[in-house]
Amino acid sequence: MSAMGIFRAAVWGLIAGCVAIIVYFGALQPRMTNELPPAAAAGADSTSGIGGPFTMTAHTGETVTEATYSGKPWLMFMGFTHCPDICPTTLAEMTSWFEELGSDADLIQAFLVTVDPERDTVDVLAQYMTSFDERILALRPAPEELERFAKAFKIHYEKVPFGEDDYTMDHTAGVLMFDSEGEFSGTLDLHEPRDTTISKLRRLIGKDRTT
Amino acid sequence: MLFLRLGLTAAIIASGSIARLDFAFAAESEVVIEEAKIAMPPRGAPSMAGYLVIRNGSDEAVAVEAVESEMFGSISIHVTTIENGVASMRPAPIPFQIPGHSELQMKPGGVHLMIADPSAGLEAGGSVGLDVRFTDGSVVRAEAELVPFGGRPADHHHGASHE
Ligand SMILES: [Cu+2]
Repeated sequence: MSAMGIFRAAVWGLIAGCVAIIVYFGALQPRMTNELPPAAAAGADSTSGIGGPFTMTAHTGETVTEATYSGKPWLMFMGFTHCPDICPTTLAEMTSWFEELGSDADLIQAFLVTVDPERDTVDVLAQYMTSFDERILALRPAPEELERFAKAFKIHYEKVPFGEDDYTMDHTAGVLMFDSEGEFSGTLDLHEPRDTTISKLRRLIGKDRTT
Repeated sequence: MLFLRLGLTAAIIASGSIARLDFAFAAESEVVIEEAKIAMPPRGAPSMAGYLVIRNGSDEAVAVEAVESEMFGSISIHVTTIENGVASMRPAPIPFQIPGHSELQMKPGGVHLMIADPSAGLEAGGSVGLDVRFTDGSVVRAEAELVPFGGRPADHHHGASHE
């Protein structure tokens, strides 16, 4: 092949590549804007690949699955009651966000999922949650369920020996947000300014009304 | 062990818990506890967190050996680090070094006191005496305010923070 031939081949290759990219995005487009899927729970039809079915017991005694609060945006925080520092701080913050949002916060479902089901029984969680906004539900997965859930939701948790015969739990930090279609839509960081958090929450709720 | 210690120290400095003091405070030549708060635990939680700001205005480094109070069964110094989105809590390296003209700012998601077995009758709004013992044998007493759970210590800035 002559030099010119190579050049032509390269140009055609580039054009073909661009067309392929346009076709790819074109194909995605209608899926994102036109399709109105039935209210899906986190991950049921997730493009982020975060989410999936689960069954847990709430601190109220109620059984909660991915379908129970589908159609609402979710906040999800991993924690445990033997965590004195960031867990109560995060839940207290969440309580104050809900206070600021007022009745708009009813449009969100917030969960604390314990990563320490061994010590956090439903009774322990029921007592613990009386200290925070009553709209936050604490969920206890059975230990095998926690493993499955963590995998599906890409959550990290690990039991770490601590002191003589104690242990602590390493766990995913921050509050995970899921939109009303069950799609993972970012994380709220404890250290970000409050205004940023509140506007992220309003956007999460607003999504509901505008689309 | 040394490696772990270095790692922790680096993490503490990276998270901004140790801040160097600016000129205005360099004149002070003592160690003072500037703010002391203990957050009441949520109902049924076995332990609570405490936060101090320890200011070392002297030229020399000081090192905290222990924090003690007759009102609690145990007080230990812990570090929470958040790395790659994962929160972990570990015992802090003891003695805990505070360089000269620097301060240690404890805060949620950073260095904190983990406090267990409180005496009965402690309530938000009250206060409790804490003794901070240093490796040179000195003790600085602080009066810690009891604040509601999750109570974030007020953002505290007076030195130039070299983060
Ligand atoms: Cu701790």
